[in-house]
Amino acid sequence: MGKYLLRRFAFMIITLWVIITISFFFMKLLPGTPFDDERIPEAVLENMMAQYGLDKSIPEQYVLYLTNVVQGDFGVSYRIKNRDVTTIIAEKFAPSAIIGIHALIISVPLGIILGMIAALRRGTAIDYAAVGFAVIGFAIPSFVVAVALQYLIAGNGLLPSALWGTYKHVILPSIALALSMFAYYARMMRSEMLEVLGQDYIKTAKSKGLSRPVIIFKHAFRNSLIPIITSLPVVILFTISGSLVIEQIYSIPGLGTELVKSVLSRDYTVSMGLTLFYAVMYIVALFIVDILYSVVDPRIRVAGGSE
Amino acid sequence: MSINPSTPEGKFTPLNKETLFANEKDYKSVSFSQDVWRRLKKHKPAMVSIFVLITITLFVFVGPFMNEHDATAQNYEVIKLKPTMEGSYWFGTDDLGRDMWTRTWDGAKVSLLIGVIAALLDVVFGIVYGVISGYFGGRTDFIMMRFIEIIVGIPNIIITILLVIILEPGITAIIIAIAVSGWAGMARLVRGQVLSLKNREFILAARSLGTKPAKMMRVHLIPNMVGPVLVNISFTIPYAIFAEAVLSFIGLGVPVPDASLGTLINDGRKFLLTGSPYLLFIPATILTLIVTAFSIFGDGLRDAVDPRLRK
Repeated sequence: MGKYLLRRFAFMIITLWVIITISFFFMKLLPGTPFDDERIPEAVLENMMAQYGLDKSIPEQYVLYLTNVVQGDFGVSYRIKNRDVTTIIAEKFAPSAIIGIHALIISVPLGIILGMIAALRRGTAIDYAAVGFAVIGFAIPSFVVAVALQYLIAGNGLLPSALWGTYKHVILPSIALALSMFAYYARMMRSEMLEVLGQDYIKTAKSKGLSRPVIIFKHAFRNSLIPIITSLPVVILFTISGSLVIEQIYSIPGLGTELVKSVLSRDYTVSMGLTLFYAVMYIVALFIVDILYSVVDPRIRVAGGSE
Repeated sequence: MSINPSTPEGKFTPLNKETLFANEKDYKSVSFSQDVWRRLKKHKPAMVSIFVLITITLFVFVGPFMNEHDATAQNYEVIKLKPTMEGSYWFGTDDLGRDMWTRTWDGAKVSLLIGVIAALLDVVFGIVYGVISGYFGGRTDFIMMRFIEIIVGIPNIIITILLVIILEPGITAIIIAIAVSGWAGMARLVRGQVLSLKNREFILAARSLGTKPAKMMRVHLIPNMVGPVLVNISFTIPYAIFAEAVLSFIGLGVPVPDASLGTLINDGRKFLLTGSPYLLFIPATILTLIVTAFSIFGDGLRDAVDPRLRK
């Protein structure tokens, strides 16, 4: 296990290094500089470029950036004066995370419940309605849901249509973000539950004379949760790290909005910092998934080793 | 009671051929595509989706010619007209007096074009990458797959935005950017297919006959994974259309005066709460129909291609 973890960790470092390299040179390919303003005199511009080290050659800048990142220094923003990247990410993370957590709290339990009901009432009108909802709810683009909510609910003055500040501002974006996840988990839970219900151990449980609730909750429910639990780390990290679309529509000062702003204004350090942040989140999530698999499902540990 | 081995005359008569083969129907052999189509026809939601998609495609080509208005002609006498039969402004007009009927169908054409071409690029690149990785296996496969693992660590949206800016915003840039950020999934799928096909007998037979790798891939491997690849395409197209709309939202969509459904929706957002919600909702409805229809069709196709996967 120790050796496995070490190898895994080494691969994570290499992954991050490659990601830094690719995105660094990509960002440098962007036309223009962070200080594209005709009103800035030539001499001042040169000074500014020198201060941020942008006058050096690109390989030099790359080495400098890499050394700084290794030491935990992600640089300062070119756009907002005297603000370092870590602070900006920490600040913008809060709104994204709040909306994401709300969306998760709404969608995952509801999806699991709906999927379970549909599976247990297979072939009935309830099942068809749930499946229909799941298919359409997952296929409708999130921004359509977001603007429809804006029109129907904010348009009637029930809730604010955009911006950030009070708890009221959290509700609409959270619902808009939650819908597709709700549909996704409902569908996943239904198909998993159906599969588990067809397993031999459920037959055994039935023939032992166990009551229906015990069979459903103790045997079927817990086993159908396995793929849902293992899918959660990636989904959670993606959800809390901000949806660009939802943030854009509701004008929320979150990570997604910040990413767009920084890229459009060539704020290299912030864009790079955000790219790295997302990459780290993703890699960590995959790592947790791997560990979760062996924790949640002992069958994998027994059969495992090969994969 | 002795058993008479010989057939007593008159007790048994030989059957004539007609009665003998009466129950033997002449079964025609069914090709893979016919089989898929037969199963797909039974999937009602998928059939409705095909109908929706065909209808929209028809309107995309015919719609702009159904009235006399031009997509980019501005007319300040008819600004923000509600949908009306008068003057054949069936979908109304926008803030510059442009006819929304023509603009919507032209926009849908651009969106569909972006979706289809980006998906096709994904397929081509994904197949080449996946087949090479899966077929050669070993170290090649290891390196190619690690590379994909690293690539998917960079969020799609960042790659897409960066590429669009670098290539200068335009339809071509958008298509390339979306394709570049989406090929990894296709490559993984194709590699998996190749790995499972590789051990089949017909591949072994072909190899023992001395088939060269290039011909092996072209003749034996690729035609045998058409099903899963088609299913993947029907999910990639709506993803690409969605991605294009997201780009429009951050100002990197199709440049003016052209329009896509994404840019129309984004433009319409300004007038959502100021009395002209139709400027947003008409293109949004068309886009939702296209995206939803493709996803539902993809679901049906997946069941039809491989009934074992049915859930």
